[in-house]
Amino acid sequence: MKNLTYKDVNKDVLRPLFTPDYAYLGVLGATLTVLVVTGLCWLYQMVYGLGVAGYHPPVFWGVYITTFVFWIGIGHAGTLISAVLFLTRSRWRTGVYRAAEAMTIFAVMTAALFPAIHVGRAWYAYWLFPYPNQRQLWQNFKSPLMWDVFAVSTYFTVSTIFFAIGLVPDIASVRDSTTGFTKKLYGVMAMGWRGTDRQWHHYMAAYGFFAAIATPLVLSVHSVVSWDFAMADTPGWHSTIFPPYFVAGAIFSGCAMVITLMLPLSILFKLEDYIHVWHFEHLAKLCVFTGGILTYAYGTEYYVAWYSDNQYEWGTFMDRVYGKYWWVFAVMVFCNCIAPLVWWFKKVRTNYVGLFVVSLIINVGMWFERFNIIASSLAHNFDPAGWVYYYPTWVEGGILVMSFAWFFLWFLLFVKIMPSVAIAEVKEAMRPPLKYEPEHAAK
Amino acid sequence: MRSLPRASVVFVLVSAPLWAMSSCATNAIANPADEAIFPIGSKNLLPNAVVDMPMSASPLEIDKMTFFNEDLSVAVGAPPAEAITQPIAFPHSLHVKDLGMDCQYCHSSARKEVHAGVPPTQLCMGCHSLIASDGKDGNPDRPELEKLKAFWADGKGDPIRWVKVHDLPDYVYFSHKRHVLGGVQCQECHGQVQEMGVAQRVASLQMGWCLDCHAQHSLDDSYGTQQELRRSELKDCWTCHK
Amino acid sequence: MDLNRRDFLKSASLATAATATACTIDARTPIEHVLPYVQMPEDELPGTATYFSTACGECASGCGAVARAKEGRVVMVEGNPDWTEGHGLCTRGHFGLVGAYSPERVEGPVTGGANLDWDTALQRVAEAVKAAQAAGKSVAWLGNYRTGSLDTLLGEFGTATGLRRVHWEAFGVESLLAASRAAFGVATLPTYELANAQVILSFGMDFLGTAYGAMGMSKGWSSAKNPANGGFVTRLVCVEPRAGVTAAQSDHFLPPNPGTELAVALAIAKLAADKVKYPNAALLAAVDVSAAAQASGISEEKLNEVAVWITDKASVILPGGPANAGTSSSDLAAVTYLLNDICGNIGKTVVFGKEQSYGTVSAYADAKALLDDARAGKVGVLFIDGANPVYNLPAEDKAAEALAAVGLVVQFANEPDDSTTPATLLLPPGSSLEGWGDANVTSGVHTLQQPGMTPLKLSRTVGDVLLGVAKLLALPEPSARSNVEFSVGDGSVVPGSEVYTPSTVAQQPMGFAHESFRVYVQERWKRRVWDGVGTFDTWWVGVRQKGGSFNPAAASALPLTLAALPALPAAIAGAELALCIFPSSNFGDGRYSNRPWAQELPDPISTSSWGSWAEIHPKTVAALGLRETDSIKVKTAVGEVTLGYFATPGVREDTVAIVYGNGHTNVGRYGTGRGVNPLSLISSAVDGGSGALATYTTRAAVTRSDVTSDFFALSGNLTMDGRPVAVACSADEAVAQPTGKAGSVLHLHEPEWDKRLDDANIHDFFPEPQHPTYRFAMAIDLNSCTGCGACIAACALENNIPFVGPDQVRRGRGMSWIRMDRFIEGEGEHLDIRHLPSMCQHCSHAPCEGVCPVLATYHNLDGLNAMIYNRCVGTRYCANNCPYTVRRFNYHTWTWPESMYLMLNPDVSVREMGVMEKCTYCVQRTRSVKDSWRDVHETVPDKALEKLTACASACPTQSITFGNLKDSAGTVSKLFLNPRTYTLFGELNTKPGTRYLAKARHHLAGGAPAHGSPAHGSPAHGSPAHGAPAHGEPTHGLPAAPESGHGSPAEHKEG
Repeated sequence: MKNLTYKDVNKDVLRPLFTPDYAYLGVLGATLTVLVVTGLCWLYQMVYGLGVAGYHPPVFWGVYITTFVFWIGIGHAGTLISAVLFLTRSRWRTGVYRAAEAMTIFAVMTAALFPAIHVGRAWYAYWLFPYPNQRQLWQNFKSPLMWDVFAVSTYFTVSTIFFAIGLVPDIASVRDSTTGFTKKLYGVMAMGWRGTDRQWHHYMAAYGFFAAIATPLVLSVHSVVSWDFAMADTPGWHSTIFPPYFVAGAIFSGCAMVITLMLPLSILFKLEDYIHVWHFEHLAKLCVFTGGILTYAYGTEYYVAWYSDNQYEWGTFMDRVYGKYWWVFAVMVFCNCIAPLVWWFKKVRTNYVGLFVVSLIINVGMWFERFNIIASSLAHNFDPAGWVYYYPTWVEGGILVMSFAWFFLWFLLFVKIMPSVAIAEVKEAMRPPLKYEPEHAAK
Repeated sequence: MRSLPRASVVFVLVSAPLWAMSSCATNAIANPADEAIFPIGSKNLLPNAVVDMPMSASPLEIDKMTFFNEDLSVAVGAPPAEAITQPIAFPHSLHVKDLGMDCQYCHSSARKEVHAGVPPTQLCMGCHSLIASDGKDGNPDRPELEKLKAFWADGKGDPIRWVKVHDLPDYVYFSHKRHVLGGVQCQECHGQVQEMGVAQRVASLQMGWCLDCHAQHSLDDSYGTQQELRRSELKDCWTCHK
Repeated sequence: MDLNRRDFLKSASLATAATATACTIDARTPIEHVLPYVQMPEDELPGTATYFSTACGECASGCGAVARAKEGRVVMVEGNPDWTEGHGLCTRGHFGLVGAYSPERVEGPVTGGANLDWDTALQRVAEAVKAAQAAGKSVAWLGNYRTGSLDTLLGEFGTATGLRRVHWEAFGVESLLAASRAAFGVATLPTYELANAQVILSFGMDFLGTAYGAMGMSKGWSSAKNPANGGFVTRLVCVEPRAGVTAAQSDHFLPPNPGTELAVALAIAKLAADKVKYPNAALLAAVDVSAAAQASGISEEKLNEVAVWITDKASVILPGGPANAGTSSSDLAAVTYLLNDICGNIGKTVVFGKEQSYGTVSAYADAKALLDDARAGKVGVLFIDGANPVYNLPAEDKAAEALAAVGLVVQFANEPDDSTTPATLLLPPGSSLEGWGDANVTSGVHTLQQPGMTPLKLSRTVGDVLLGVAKLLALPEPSARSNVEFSVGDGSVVPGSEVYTPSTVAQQPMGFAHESFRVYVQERWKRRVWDGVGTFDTWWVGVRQKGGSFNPAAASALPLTLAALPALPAAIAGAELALCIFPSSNFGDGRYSNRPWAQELPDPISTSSWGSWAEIHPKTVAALGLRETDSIKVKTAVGEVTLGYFATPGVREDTVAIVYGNGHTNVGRYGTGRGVNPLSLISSAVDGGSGALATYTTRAAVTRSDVTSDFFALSGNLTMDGRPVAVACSADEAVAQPTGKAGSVLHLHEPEWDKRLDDANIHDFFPEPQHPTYRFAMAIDLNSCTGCGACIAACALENNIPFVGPDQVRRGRGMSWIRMDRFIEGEGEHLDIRHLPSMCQHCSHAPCEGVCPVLATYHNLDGLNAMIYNRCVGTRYCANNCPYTVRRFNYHTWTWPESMYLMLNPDVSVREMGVMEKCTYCVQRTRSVKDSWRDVHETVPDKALEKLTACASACPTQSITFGNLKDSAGTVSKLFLNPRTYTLFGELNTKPGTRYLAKARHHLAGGAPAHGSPAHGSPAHGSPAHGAPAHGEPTHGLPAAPESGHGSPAEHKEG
């Protein structure tokens, strides 16, 4: 790490703020355009019905639920990195946790779109929330989908609060380096942060407290999402291995997504000094570890299916390999089990290209993993007369792209508005300044 | 020249998803020839208030009775903003209070059927053919009766287009028979009709309103030990929705 | 910003309130109108259905039917339980309702695109008849079979006008009549009483599908198939090239080499005659059994075995059908009569005296001759009644040219078809639900067709038109009865036997002096049907209530007079594939192909819809190197067609079978341009004995085509992949009725149950739902289910199920609540085709219920799995979690043309996009019947429930029984205790209300787990499981089941 001063930190981290150059505006504009165009796909689907998607009963869930689970998975790394690593006092979290946490929130926001996109009558999606109504009807609290509603909304609320708390000292830094209206705006958001010892004392207590609350949520939310499948009787879904397997997968995909996002971010905004290859290396190691868990889980699934001697279960698992969806299975195995292995080599995991390419592959692989679970299980259900082959349409493709546009839009706004590296914590991790620094003396 | 790389970034970002969309299997839209034959209804995303069922006078349209294809989203809303007017300003108060007629004299299928039934013009004329309406012979001028007679036209007239006052959504099956036989008074749902001129809606007719009543009313004694069972049956959604 | 806490809370609450107000658009109830009657019909009660006993007018079978009308519109047609054949209508009969509401129906008489009034139209007809008579040209009639009053009227009208009558239908009965003339000296059709037949040998007759009188024969067959009825399971042997609905039920499928069916029949006859010492054995002296075996490819042993079967036990031998319609089809039929005589069946299972009646029957040759004369300009007026010559005749006959040369073509049709030209005078006769008529089903059985609603269009029945024309022509009153029963190809007329009407009633002429056809019908019944007891008016009221007069004549026998054996025809020669044309089971000879539901109903065998397909053997597919997406080109000397293929072991390797019924050029929006017409492939060869069209005479070259196939099968996998889905047991096992038999296939779905749990009083982890009064349940006997689809048709009409069109069906989005699973296992003689109608199973522990987040589906007190459409958000979780895959999702709001809204059942909600739907056990019917019985404070009796649901009421083989499980004496409760009963996927402990009775098949070994043959590796067309390994037998198939099987009704303990 370069010999940085506190002042440098402020300057470097806040540089991306306030100076929207053409490249930024261009990317923002492009994202917006894509969002609008693909958003029309959703409108089209709402007006004409879900039939414009490729559903082929009995495959009643398809790309949308796949993408929902994918984004929920992406939303795992942030809280893991910020909360769990905070509690375990891992030093390498400092550079990446802010952006990772933002990513979590935006990913959950993206994921939350999908239940509404996926249901047949989106205009009644609000019925999924329990609220007192004249019909005197309540929800079915036995349904895993209801658990989902609670798990995701809780996770979203807690991570947002946690994120907001973590931002306070940095927003104060932003406030201090601006003037006029912007200063007022950030002033409100900084909630009167002055950086006094007393404030720091309370702040650290609150932060630790929320980190403790957020940690179990990392495990719970994807466990609950996995129950959507595990609680069903569909062969290929009905499995007790799902919660840990999904959580591992979520962390795996989340960390990969952090690499995918932060690499370009650090280069574009010249934050290499703060988001160092050292951070990425740690993330890559985490990926290799969780990828191993995942590979083991895949194997376990097959073992259990074989050992159970249940012909429906085994039929589905064999169909995944030999059936029409063989290519999905192949993509999944290659991307999730084989590709991350190259990160065992230090050369690869400390190389920007190696990091970026493999992380992208993992992202693709994790999307296909969910698709593999959902589509191939449903397409090869109990009754052989119902076996079909489902493939998506351009509407589903458009809405999948829309989710990325939506996510990137928020992320782009975030890097422009909020400091994407935690200033206070970076400073904390630095060697404290001496009153008479050598270079100061030299000046 | 510096803007070229940026422009290309923008171009790629915009065109890639579009390309991806178009190159995905384009099986979402049915073949155009088929679409004319198998029309796919679209969802009216406008608020329900704008939804009305247009009715024309062709016999086919009348038979259609708007029973069908009403959106499952159209719920019972508030009564119309203004008081309901009918093609004939039928005075319920005169017939029920002043003349002492029973509701079921006209709405005779209420105790036999799901529908209470609106009486055929013939039934009105059973009495009204004997009542002068033209103001001659010292009788008061009764313009509404004139209208009735025009609708009758010796049995060859058009049906009277009454406006439905108590209109439940089409996915609600309310049986008048069970309620009338169970001893429920008409007024409990329809209000004090005997005080009204043209009948107006007073109840909300919403589901919660139904359930409130069902929660309060004690069940017929004849159910005895089966009261709880009856109560559960009434909570069965299929009692009213099917 | 000075914002203290109180201010913040204030403004926050304000903002919340404002948002809430803005979001709550107080929707006003839309304005609707009520239109009361001006004069109320006497017995009308708004909202109450009116039932009319009537006759199904869709084909000449004239089955008894009941039409249900609501507010003056018929919304359902079902079998008439009072009729001799009781419940049940075929798919074509049910879809008659769709025809009545077809959007293509013309408003009134039409010619050249202009509407006429009826007076002008009749005037024109009369003038044309006069002009033709004056010019010496003939007045001709080309129509479908007509019986009853219309036949009588036509006979008299024909005599008076010199009408040249041709009544011809594609796949008609002319060859059978000719055969009967050859065999018995009388042109008549015997009735086959299958209920007592322990062995049925069929030479291609589709007696469970498209054959005339199929309702009666289906019922008889299902009775013979039920071991409880006679202690036997009938053995069905089918000799035909392609397994259709009937042959799919066969225990022994024996497809002989193309064109050698007659040789097979003769060989069996010879062997059988030897066995029973047939007195007239000399007749068969020349038959060479080994040569026949050689020629047909069926081994001598097998032929001998069949001969033993048919002579040992009560048997019936059925004549040929469409699949065997070769150049010697009448000879084949004659030999089947001989076979019946040899086996002593005449008078027992093959009876005369109560023959099926078809009115006047002409041969194809007559129709061809008529058109030839027309082409020569010899026909002045041609009446076309229901026939469609341009479509039904081979393309080679160029019927369109012939019609163009006729002075005036008068067509009785509700909508234009292929034969309609601008010059045609189209006279709409209205649907059979709108007009009077009658049918003569068998001797002594007459069904009366009563209108159930006022005509939707300005239509007049054919009878009314004939009476009107007769009046305009001032026809003289006829003096004697002058019906022609049957004519043969050479034009010679065979006087028919007077078998229709009770012989006690004099055959006076009816004359034309009747004010309407309704009066005519009534008068004819008075004169010819009424037994003269009591007053006619009282009798007539009874007839109108019952829907006819049902006094079947006594069975009798006719002596066989067959003098010589027919000559053996040459086998269909050539190195290419033999071409077999079979009628569609959904729209027969194509006359119903503009009915969207009929188009959408999957074919029972290929499960395809909305088009044509060719059936070829998987080996042929392999030999041609066809991919799944390829089409095939079928080429003969006459023409060629390109169409998709269905690979099935149910067809001979050297045969290509093409479905007939589609490929119209003009029948309206739903039928036009779908599929191909295979008649463009054949020449107009005829059967020598009868002049019937011979469709099974040529070979066709089949090659791969680059055109992408539009074929799709609704049933995903061809086989069961070793899974016990549609379970079958051996016939012996079914007869023996073992209970709790170890190793029986019937316990496949019952997991091993530990007795110790019973001792510990642990029955189930989950409490049994509460069913205080009713536990509605359904038993489906797979043994007699033929997969015909009548249940699907009835269900669609009863429950307002939309059709979705080919594009959506291809994506599996058909909305039918009943899915007919079809599995084809095995090959060759032991071809094993099974059907499994699966609808919502109404589980007690339904997997769908727990997962619905908004409680749109739940278990109710009647044991039903309720589905509330207006609560459904559409997460589709329930559908995923249903192991039976019986839930349907509305991917769009399906709409249909205005006129078809009139046929919707007002008791059932029409669903919109985004909601889930499924079978409700016809909740509107169970509710309504409960409501009636509640009025008298009683529980609904079993009798009122047995056939309550639309499917149970429709099933022609009575395979579906509905009832209340709480009534232990009820039929369903008893069926649930039948050892053949199993719960599908019962190992999931869903405790369904629908249970199946295993199919009994003769070729399955007793006790073996015969639910499938996983080793059989024929490529599954349309299957996602290509190359999926056969992973062996399920191991849980052989548990020692406890005496009171877990999940059996005996265990059905409830609070």
